[in-house]
Amino acid sequence: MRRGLGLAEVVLAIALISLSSVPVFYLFSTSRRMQGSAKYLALAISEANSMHAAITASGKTGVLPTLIEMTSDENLMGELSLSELGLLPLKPPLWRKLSLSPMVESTSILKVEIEVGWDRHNEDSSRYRLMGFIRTK
Amino acid sequence: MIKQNGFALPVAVILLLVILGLGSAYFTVSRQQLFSMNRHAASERAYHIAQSALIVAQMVFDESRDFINRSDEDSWPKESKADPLLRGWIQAILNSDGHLQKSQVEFDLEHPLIDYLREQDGTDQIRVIMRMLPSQPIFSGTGFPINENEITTVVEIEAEALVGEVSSRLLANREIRYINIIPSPLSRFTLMVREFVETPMQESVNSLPMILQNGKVLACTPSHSPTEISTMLETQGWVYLGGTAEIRMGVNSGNGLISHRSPCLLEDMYLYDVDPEDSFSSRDDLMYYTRETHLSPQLQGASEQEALALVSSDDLKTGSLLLFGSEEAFSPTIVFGPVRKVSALLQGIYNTENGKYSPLPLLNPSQFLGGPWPGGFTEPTRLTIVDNFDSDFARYQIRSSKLYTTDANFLITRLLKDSEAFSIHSLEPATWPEDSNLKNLSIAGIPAPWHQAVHATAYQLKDDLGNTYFDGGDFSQLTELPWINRKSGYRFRSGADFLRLQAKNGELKLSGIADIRGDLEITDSLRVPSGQGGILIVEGNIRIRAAIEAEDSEPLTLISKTGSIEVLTSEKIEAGLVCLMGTAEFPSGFDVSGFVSAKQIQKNPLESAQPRRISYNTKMDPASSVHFRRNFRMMTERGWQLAIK
Repeated sequence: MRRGLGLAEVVLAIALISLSSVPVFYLFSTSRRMQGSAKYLALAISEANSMHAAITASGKTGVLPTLIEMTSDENLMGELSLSELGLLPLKPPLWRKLSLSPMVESTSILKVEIEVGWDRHNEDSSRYRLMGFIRTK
Repeated sequence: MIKQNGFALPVAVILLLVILGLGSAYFTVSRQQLFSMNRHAASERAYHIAQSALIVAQMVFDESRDFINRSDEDSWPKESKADPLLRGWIQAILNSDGHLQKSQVEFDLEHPLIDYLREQDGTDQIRVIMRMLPSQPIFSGTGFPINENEITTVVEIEAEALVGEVSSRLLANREIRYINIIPSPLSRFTLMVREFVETPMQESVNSLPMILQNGKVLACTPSHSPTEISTMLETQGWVYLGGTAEIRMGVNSGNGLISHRSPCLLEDMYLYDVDPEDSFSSRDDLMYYTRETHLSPQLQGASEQEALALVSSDDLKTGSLLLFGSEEAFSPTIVFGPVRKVSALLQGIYNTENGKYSPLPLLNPSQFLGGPWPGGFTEPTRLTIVDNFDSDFARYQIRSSKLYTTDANFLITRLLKDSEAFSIHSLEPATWPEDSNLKNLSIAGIPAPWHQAVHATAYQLKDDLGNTYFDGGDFSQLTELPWINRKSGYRFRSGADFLRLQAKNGELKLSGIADIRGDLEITDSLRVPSGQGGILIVEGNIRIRAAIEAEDSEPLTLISKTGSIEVLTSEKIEAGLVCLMGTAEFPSGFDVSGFVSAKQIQKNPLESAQPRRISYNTKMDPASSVHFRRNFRMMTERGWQLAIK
């Protein structure tokens, strides 16, 4: 009787652990994913701020208008050569994109759009977007 | 005995609880981290949106400032001519006179670019407030010519953006100085020399006078009323030549060039009936004649030279300045100082039958009675003439050739209608017209007449609205300009620093008053756009080696506080030059458009085909209420002081 009860107890314990492992695994994996997102979002915010600062500085020193004049398409810039702005390459999976466009309301203001992401397959939730204006004169 | 029942399950449950506990904590922490990071991301977005709104407001402020600083006619009145996107702010900060408000102004900025920011995903609210704080006067003491519209204040911009539940509020401020860039009273004068020393010259191609163009150019015709002349003179650049000794300016021949010849000479023959007491009055064919000529013996006929043979060669030298422009471009003005105009008067007898002129020579009393006379007079002829005057030398002197001097300003009478009344033989009419006084110049409280010498120790200058802008002593004592120095808002360590920062690509951008330590040397051409002029106060010397071009006669003044100004180019310099403690030195050819104020001036006598000219810039006239009004400038610090609230 005592042995039988012991076996049942073990079986019950294993079953309990097995059943609960699914939500526990989900809990841990979700937490891990959230941690990753938070980490990459922090990196993305930092990177976007660096890029914005570099672009602002370029606008002040006159480098930016020169670059803009070099491009011919209507939106002026697609991908910008970031090395010209003094930015270091990013480690995968981080990626970045920068676009500058003039505003018809003012010739001295450029719209800066920066995107930094960490997963090209899930673009909406794994990217940080920043939009702002800079003055070129 | 050890109890073994119930061991595995409790352990499993405990383990499970521990794992679940750890998992929950991990989940909570991770979720909180992500939540926190998302909030941080929203905060960053809000910051950049607020910063972008701030940039839009700063742009509106800067463009408004540049528009308010424009002096061209097309930009007036400011309130209605402003770009619609700037109009609201400009209307808010300007009072009914078009000057900056003195009380606090608060303005909610609306702009299409702010609307654009509002439309961005995640942006819930943006508000931008532009604020100008109550002003303080630039001058707080007494003793300076104060314009109550010259003020200092601070402009603040507050931009707030709300993204999700996170808001960001930025504050930027900047000091404003609202000042006038007309260097009053110096720029009332085409030329002001505190200690003028005239160096008479023997004219030649290598030695031509400096020409002053004082504003309007007129034909020298006797067709103006006294009031018309007063009005005209009040807008011309005046001339101040300081000193106590008489300054004699010989009438120039310009070495044969009408561009360098004294204007308004009475060269036509004026004929007079012979006086009844003279014996020639019995003859119908004789008249007396008189005419004026310049002082250049080599260009006159032999008889004219002989008529003035007694005059020393030194007395025949001409002036170093053409105060009233030239014969080609007569530009009348009022001359301050003990300045006398010297010219030759050729007089004699005219025979109406044969049309011959016979000048009566300049003589001394013994020559008059004893002879011989220069000019080939035979003894019988000489005696006939002596008899004509009853051997009275004084009567002869009235009708004989001579040098004659008048106050320099007397030349202006030649513009008067019916100027025969002011002809050579009646230099002082019995009564001057009452309206021959200047409205904007008083000496000891009495309006100064324009036909006499202006030479005093205290002057009061008024603008065309009757407002006094200078009430002080003798200009010869004017060495420092504290009312200009106090307005300065920028400081530069050297002239090179100033040019590097404010004159990029040859385009000067000043819009205010700046102090420069050391010397200033302008080696490359400078262009001053409309609204970007001002005053440069240089501690040391100023050397100008290249042209200065001022768009639309934009006022620019270069002041050397303690040094001298050396012009080393014949290219046009559109600027006022001031060195009240030093010498303004010019090359053989120069062309200054503005004004010059100096302790002394020095001209290079070498030959040059270039003009030697100072032209008055009427846009720098402090007596013109219109021009004065248009030369107020908003000076701002280079950057904004930023704060995050």
